[in-house]
Amino acid sequence: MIAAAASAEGASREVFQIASRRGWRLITTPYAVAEVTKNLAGFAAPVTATWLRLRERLVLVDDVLTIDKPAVFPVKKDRPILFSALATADVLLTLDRGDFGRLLGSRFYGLAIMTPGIWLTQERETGRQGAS
Amino acid sequence: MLFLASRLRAEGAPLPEPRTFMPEEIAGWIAEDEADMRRLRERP
Repeated sequence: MIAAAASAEGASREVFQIASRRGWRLITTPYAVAEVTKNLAGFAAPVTATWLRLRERLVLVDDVLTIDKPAVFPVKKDRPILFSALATADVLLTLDRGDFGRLLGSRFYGLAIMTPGIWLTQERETGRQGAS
Repeated sequence: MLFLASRLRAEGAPLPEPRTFMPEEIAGWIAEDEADMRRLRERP
């Protein structure tokens, strides 16, 4: 979401732009929104304005802090993002290799975790995206 | 056991503070994101 707000040329913004046409529902949580707001503080005002417009396209769901499955990875701050996505989404899109690097390209109890670019590539290859 | 441990760790735990990312880290994400999009557009 930070990348989508900060750059119009990236895959993250493309996901926002084509989501409704593709029937994708973009989901986030209060924790993730707070994270974006906090980290956009150093950007120029137009980036914040863009973020406010993008945020309107997101479906806000509650943060999830627990799951009824074993989670055998270190307790880190990525827990709210990962668990909330597992509870509500089919795919977790992130560019954060610091916290999700070992999970990128894999699945966590069926939840696919990938970058927006990989998601768009896969969608195109499976024919669901069509010509752009 | 693992499930129980996970639940016990999580229950009652407050939501952590939103993460703060280094500007360089964010710049790296944006560069990667834009490169991915360029590659996607260049594909036939």
